[in-house]
Amino acid sequence: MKSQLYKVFATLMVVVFLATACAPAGTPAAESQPAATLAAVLPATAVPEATKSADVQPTEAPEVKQGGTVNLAISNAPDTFIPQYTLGAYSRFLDSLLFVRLLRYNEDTSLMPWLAESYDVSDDGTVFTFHLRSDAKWHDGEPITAEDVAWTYNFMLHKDYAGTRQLEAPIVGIEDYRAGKTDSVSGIKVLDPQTVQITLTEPNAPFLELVAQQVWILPKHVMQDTPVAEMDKHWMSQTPTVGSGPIKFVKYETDQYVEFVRNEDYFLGAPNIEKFIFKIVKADVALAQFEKGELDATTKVGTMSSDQIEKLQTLDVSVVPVAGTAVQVLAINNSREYFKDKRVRQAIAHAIDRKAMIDALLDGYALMQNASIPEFSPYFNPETKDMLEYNPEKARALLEEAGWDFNREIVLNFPTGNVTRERSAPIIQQYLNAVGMKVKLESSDFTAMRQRIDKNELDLWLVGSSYVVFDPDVKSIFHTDSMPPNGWNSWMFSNPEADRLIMEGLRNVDPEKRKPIYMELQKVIAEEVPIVYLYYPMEINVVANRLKNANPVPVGMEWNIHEWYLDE
Amino acid sequence: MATYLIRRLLFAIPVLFLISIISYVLIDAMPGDPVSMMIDPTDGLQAQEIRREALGLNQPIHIRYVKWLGEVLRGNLGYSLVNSWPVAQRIGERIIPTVTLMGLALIISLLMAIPIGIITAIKKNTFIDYIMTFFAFVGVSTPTFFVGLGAIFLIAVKLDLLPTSMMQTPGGEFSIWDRVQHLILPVSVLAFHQVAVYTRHIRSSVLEELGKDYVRTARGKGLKERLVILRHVMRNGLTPVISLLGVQIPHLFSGAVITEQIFVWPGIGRLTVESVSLRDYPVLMAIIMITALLVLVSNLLADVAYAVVDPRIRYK
Repeated sequence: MKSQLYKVFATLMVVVFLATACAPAGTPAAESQPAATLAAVLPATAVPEATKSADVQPTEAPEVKQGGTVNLAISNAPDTFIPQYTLGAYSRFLDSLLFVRLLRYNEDTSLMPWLAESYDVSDDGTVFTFHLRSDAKWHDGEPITAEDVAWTYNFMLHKDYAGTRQLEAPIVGIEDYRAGKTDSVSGIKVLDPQTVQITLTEPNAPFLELVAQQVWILPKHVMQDTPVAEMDKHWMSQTPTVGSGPIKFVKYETDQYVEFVRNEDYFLGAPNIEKFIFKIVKADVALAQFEKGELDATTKVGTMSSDQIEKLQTLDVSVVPVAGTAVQVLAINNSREYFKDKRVRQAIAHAIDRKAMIDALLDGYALMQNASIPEFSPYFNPETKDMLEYNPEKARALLEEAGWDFNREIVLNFPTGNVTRERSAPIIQQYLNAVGMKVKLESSDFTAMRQRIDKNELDLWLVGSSYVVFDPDVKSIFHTDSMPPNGWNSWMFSNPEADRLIMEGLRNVDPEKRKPIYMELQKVIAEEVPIVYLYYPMEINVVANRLKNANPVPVGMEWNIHEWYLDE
Repeated sequence: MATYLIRRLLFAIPVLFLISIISYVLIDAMPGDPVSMMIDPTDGLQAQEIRREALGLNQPIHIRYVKWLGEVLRGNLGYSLVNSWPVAQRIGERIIPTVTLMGLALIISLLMAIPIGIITAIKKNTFIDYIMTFFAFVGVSTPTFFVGLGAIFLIAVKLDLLPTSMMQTPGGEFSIWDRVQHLILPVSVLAFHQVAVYTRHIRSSVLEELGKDYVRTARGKGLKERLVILRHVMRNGLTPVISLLGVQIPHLFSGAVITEQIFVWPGIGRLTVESVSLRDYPVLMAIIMITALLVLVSNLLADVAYAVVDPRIRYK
């Protein structure tokens, strides 16, 4: 009796398992290649063939079809629709489609004009003049003018402004404005309805990147009557009907999806696709929806396993890994007496086989770097590439040389939430144990760990560091003046040479002059090892083959959404 | 009975107060605060201070509690720290989806569990009992996410009978048929688990009744077995269902996190988990207080219901 039941049960389980694991019937075996070849593709060039060849102006390509509905996956529900107050990377993704900024990034991470048709920088690098497009309109038909730009910048610099995006730039007149002496920031001038001029107190190279990354222009005529302190409760935070981007808000069904329709008046050209639906789904469900054809593209739906990726290869989709925007690091408390010797920090880096970790935990879908700048950046220094290789003998020798106390027990803290990171902790512990360091593991949730970091209580910890800006500047994480509470140098790294190079890089606006400075700085960082850069996970983007021109790159895939079209 | 009810209701007030104080203190004692989660790491700690000040998080806990209580007593549940939307709205828009999902699952699982429980008790140690017991154990011990994903792949993807997830077809107009289609999978997955639990409860309670003297008497006086079961055993054997309901009613509100996650269902369970991880104090407090209120009320209802079905129970 019992054994019979067991058989029934076993059969059932096998049925369920097969149903979830099998490729659809009739798929040619040749198409279900494992992902090995894809992993070798470099992020900046990770462009699927289908979209590469279709990279032409929609007007010149007669086969571009109009209309249709595209379904995209985002993994978290949006929090608020006013970009200045969003927390999640996913709301940001939507915000960038709803609102435009003065500048934006091109597919190769270089700056390009957006709302500003062009811009001039004065020779001394302090006066920036932006010339706005004359054909830009809000979704309610009002023109977008220099007044809107000036109002938005003033709003973000107001003393009552409490958004999550900060405009930290040395603009002339901020102090007087915040102290209430002036009604607006004197360094922000509207020259005419199409021109706005911003004056800085000192040259600041990343300023343009800040303009391109942080400052979504908001509609003055809709929002100006609300007090700045109350702006987060403005109705635009729930129903952003007056946007400026390529798509217009239709509705948000709580926790399920956000619906948009194309903006016929978008100044770069009306999108070809009629309706855009952003579904809030996790990777597992996204996979099922792809298989059913309920999804056309996904960005950032969380880490996918190699099984899932392999399964996707059998569907009519392109799997495109691109460099993500966050690097995972092993932070070292440089202020601890026993970590002050750089040989100890180098030893930690040499002790860890990062390549093996990437293969084991991320199926190879990650990049490595030794200093602050990822390989796809034009500022990357190739000399740092082979530094800090895996070499346990060298690590042990360095520790002995530095007089490391092999009886000392140190603690490695890691936050819960990111599964890959959690799994990496015991691996790192083993690598460090193997060279003779005694390491204990401790974990807590991220918020709790954050608090202990701020109190400087930790030895080693794992944390993600995000690149909000593609600029090579690292002042906020490596400069001596940026130690908490003044910045995010929570590893308490202090090095006069690094400080000097950081400041020099900030003051030079000319990219050609900046390049050698950052080459040098990367060498200093790779030599000093203030933190160990562990891995730079690639985001697996999936694009259905029927969706054309959608082209995931490190800056996202939404940059040319108006050129997408559906070919069925 | 009336005085008993009034006494119980009056007693609920200090209990709710106590719950609110304890939860407020516990939530506040959770390490970390909402602001450190919100501010971009590149913006510096000054930005965090500004935000903390703006949200009133710099004040001592007793002042914050009194302020919160004052607002709640005036009917204002506050604003979410995460996106500044009113808490009442964030919870309100999820109540109907949650209650629909949980309520349907409860009704269906009871409708199935009652006959199954009785049958398995009567046919104790037969093939039917074994098979049902087997499924009950599978139901209890298989995690919902497994059943849920399995159902999605098998029924929605392979057989293409139902939509994979969500509450309606995105971008479409609302229709009853569309909603029903979207309800079938999540309700079945939840019910699969609950039927299993209830069946076991009902089976053991009916078995207990079957061995009692009055059943032997009923059979002895020549009553048909069908009547013995329906008229006598069922009445007494089903009283545990009342206590099950008493426990389940608060769940109607609090939702089922994993099922909601898998089926992209806008329920309160997901909101709770999100609020915990983002330390959204006002939302959390509101959910805790509403749940606490429901627990008190449904326990009271269960006690009253006991008195109604069992004349031996008298409250004074």
